[in-house]
Amino acid sequence: MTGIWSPEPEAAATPGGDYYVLDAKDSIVHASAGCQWMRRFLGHVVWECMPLAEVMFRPRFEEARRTGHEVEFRVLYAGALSQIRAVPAGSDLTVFVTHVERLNVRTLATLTASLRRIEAALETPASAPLDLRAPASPQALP
Amino acid sequence: MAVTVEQVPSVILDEDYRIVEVGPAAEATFGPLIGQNVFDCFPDATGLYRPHYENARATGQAVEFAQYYDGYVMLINAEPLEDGRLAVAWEILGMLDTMNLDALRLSLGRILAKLEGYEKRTRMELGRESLRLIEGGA
Repeated sequence: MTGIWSPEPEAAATPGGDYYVLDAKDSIVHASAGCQWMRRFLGHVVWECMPLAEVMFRPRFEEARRTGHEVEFRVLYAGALSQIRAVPAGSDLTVFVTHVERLNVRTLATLTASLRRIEAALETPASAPLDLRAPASPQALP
Repeated sequence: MAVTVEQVPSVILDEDYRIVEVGPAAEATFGPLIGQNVFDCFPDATGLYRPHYENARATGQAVEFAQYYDGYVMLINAEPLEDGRLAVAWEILGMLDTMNLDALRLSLGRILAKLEGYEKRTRMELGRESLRLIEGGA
């Protein structure tokens, strides 16, 4: 959420293929430039730096690890609807994050409008291309 | 004995809605904006705040209203001063939690309940005032 009397929020989230990589213990071992804030937490378990995310993300991450197949889902977390794609590779998991829509909390009208966009986005399945630069991406494997 | 008084955030606006004074509790946000028109700085707040400020100026009476803006629901008090200036102070009543959908749902519900509560209170006060006027004139 934006702060009180903060500057104008971003009109829309930036689409892209940002990602981070978790090891077998869910510790962050790599974060792309778009997930720069996570770089401060390299070596830490991801749930320590993403409050309340564990209950939403972990079951899907475990599903990806268990099945060996990528898992894709959309989630409203920390003020944005994001498309998450978890791709297992060995003991690592690469998590691609694409912001689909950001909540605009400026006024009740902007909040309602952004929630409508989120509702519409949730009704429209979308598939983001994998970022081939990701270390644990299947395409990046030798 | 030292007593710490927590001040509510406040600003003083001149007759053209320029920020001319900033209270200590609002310094971080509004300090750098001194001299600027508050609605130029926050254009999307104009429709939410200005009618109340105009009302305070027109009647010469302080107005109090609850408003949601930028993730917070606030109780705002606007009091006309001399020379067309307006003293505006506010208290935060609640905030929107966007961490996840459940938090958003709960916090939005609380915010709407607070806004509704203050609207009801205002309507009741207006009704009572009308009743007093009627009874006084009878």
